[in-house]
Amino acid sequence: MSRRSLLAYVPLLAAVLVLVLGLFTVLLGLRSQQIEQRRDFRDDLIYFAAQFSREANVFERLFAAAARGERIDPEAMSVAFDVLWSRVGGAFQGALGKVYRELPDGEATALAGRALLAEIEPVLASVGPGDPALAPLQARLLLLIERLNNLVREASRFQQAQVEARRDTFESSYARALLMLGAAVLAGALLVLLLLRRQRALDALRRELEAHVAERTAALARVNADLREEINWRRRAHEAIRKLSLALEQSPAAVVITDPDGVIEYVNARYAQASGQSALAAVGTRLVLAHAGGVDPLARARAGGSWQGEVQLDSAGGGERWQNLSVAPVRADDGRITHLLVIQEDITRRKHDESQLLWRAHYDELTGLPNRVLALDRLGQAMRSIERGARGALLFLDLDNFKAINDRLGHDVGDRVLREVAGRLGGAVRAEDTVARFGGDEFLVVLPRIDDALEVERIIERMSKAVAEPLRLGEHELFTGFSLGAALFPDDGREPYALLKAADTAMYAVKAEGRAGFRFYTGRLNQLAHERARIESALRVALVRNEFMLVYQPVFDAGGKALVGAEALLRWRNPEFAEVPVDRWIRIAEESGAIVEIGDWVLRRACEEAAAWVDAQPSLRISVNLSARQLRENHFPGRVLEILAGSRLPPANLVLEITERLLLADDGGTREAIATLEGAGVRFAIDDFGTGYSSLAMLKRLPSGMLKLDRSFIADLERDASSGALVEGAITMARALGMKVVAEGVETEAQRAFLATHGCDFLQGWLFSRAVAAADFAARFIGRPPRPARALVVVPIADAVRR
Amino acid sequence: MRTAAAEGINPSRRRCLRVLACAWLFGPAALAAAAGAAPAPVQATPLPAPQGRPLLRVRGAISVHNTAEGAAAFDRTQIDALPVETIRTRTPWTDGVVAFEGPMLTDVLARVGAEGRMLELTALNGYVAQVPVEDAERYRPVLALRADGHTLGVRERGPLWLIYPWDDFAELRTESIYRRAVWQLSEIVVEP
Repeated sequence: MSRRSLLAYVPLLAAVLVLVLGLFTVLLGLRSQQIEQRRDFRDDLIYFAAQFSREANVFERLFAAAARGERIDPEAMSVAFDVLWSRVGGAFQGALGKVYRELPDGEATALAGRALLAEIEPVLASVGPGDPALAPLQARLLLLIERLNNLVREASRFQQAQVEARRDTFESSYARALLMLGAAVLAGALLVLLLLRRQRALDALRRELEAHVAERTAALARVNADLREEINWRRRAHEAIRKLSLALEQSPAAVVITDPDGVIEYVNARYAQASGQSALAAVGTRLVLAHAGGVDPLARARAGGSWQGEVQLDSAGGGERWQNLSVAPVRADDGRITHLLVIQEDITRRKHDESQLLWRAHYDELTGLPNRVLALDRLGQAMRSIERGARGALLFLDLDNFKAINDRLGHDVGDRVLREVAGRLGGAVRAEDTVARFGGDEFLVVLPRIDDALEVERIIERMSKAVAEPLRLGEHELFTGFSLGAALFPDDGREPYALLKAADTAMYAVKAEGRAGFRFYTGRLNQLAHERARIESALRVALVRNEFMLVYQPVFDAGGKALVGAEALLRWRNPEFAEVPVDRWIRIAEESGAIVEIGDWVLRRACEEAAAWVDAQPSLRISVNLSARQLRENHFPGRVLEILAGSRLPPANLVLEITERLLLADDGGTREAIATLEGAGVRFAIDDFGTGYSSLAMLKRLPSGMLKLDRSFIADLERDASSGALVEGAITMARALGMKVVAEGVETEAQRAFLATHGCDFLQGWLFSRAVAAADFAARFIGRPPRPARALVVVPIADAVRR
Repeated sequence: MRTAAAEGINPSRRRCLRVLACAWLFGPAALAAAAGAAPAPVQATPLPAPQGRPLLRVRGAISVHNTAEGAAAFDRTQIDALPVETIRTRTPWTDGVVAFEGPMLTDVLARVGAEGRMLELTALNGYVAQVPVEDAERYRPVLALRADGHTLGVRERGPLWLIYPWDDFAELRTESIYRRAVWQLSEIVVEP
């Protein structure tokens, strides 16, 4: 039975339960009522009668005593009488009185009692004790009591009968109720049973029916599905035939069906269109096909084979055309070849697209340069094929202001810039190199083989120059440059991506410096080492090639009016190393030892040139910078004296500038050399004072010395109070030691005024003059009064370095 | 006596008592004012000796008495002096609804300062019934002096008849309660 049908019985079962409970309750009620009633009636009525008798007795006893002549308390008598009276009255009142009167002789007795009491009442009031009138009344009282006693018994009997009658009624109704209850329960149970059976039968029936229906439905569905499938199949078959013929007719490929001899029986629209013949005209003619690689496809098909391949045709309209040709025999059921099927498909576009795709996969569309894929492929090739000990390089370029051009002038101009730059880069590299566009404004250059870093630099140089040329694009004239990172292989990476990363890193290092230029991934060391070697070798031949010259920076007195001397500064006129800072090549010269020879030249040249000026202005002092290396030469003092003698410059007019470091790192030789020269009258000056370990003890070793305050202090004078204090201190100290003070790099009047005020002896700097060539110096400063400093024309010369 | 009165009486009355206590401390004028302000219908004050024939004697656990035996006797005047309450009800012994009037049993008990749980009621005919004091509190039965305006004499089950409000409480209409309805009541013994 299903859960649902079970649920349907719940109200029914509940109803039966309620009925049973209700009946049970009624039964219980009946029972309790019976018990209650039994007590009520019996007790009350019997008690009433008994009390009646008792009260009558009480009164009779008092009355009898009075009849016997005894004195009775009238109060007690009256109360007893009244009590009895009230009892008699009670027999005629209320529910209890009614029950009482229903007793046999009950009412009569009460009436008799009332009558007797009515007779006694006046007698009580009027007669005294012992009165003979009392005796008969007493006898009637006793009679009444007798009746009352009977009544008590009667009441008891009556009550009993009543109770029994009630109990009978009660019990019979109880039994009936019980019977009804049983019947109800039985009926309920039967009903439930019946319903259960019915339900079960119904359920079975329903299940059977459902199964039957399901079975029939399934069968129907199967038949239906079969039918539908058949219909679909037929529809599909029909559709397929329709589609096939339609497809054949509308096929983008040209379709021809010929008989085995090649006489056309059918052509589709595409063929007609391609051949320029109408289908009608074509039918009946013999089909001619181009031979492919010496094979006649029709003959092959006729022999039972099929042929398929791409055929190149010469089109009358010019340009080559490609055809995908397939020829196949069509056989009848008996295997005989009845027709030949020829399908021609024009694949010219596809061919073109394919090559286009291939090209696109490896080239950048905009610039026509190889793209990164091809570039890295070529790099990979170069890296793999590199010979032992040989090197190659990968350059990573980023156009410097391309984004600005793009933003300001638009992508169109940007694209043209890229194309132009691509062309220029291509023109700047060697035939074996690959210039590729990496993406955006980034380019890669693969140099598969280089001899040394210098070669790389040369190529970079060429590219740089090519790109630096102004770009003329319509009305715009643009300038661009690039930042370049270079990585060498196999040094910087053995695998294309590692190398790419290295070059990229180097390029970003250049970008980070914020200027156009290039950098090797291995850092400046590599580059510098290389450059250094070149500088070194160049320096060795510089003297022979007469590439050095001296310029002179005039030195004035504190007032800035009187010329007191000049500092000789060395210049190297070499086109290749014009950009190399003086400090750098001097250092290289010092380290390589070339400085000795060069220093010698400088000293001699300075002395020779100054000798003429000293003739004109005897107080003029010419300062020449010395290198530690020079001082350490064994014969240095002798050499100096020899030069002085040769140039006829008095020793007192020569100042040799040495660094304080040189004094610190003093060895016996140096000190001896200084002493010798001082003895000869040559003066010494401490260059760059204040930049190193300025030491008082050291200064004491130079009795004839001068101090040169470093330009950095002078430059800071106006900005930094501590610089002023330092300068002041240095001057005071120098004076205490009897030394003269020279300030370098004086550029403003304020600096001059400060230095003059604080007792600086001599000044040099742009405020007065730049370093000038010997001829200019002679022309401008010798033999005539110096012009006021401010009147000097400030010429922006790239070289703003001391010496 | 004051404490006895304070118990089982509503809070407002207890507050009055507190006022009284204060008044007792601060002066008779205040006392008079406080007493005037507090309605006190039944007070456990000394009960004078009955002038007429006593209708009811109360003895046992009481604190107010006026007889040599330590009982409290009420004559009709004294009974009448108590507040009167009316119960309209039917009884098994009367016909129809009867208006019974008389003092409430609680007032009578309070008047004598009764302190007990059970009362033994004795009638003129010698009938004795036990009545719990709780009945007096809960149902407020009266000692009926009159029915429908007529004074109950002994012949009419007077002069005092303990009447419960049967019509108001169904649970009273049982044999055991009917038995407590003592008529011709003459004596109450308060059992502690």
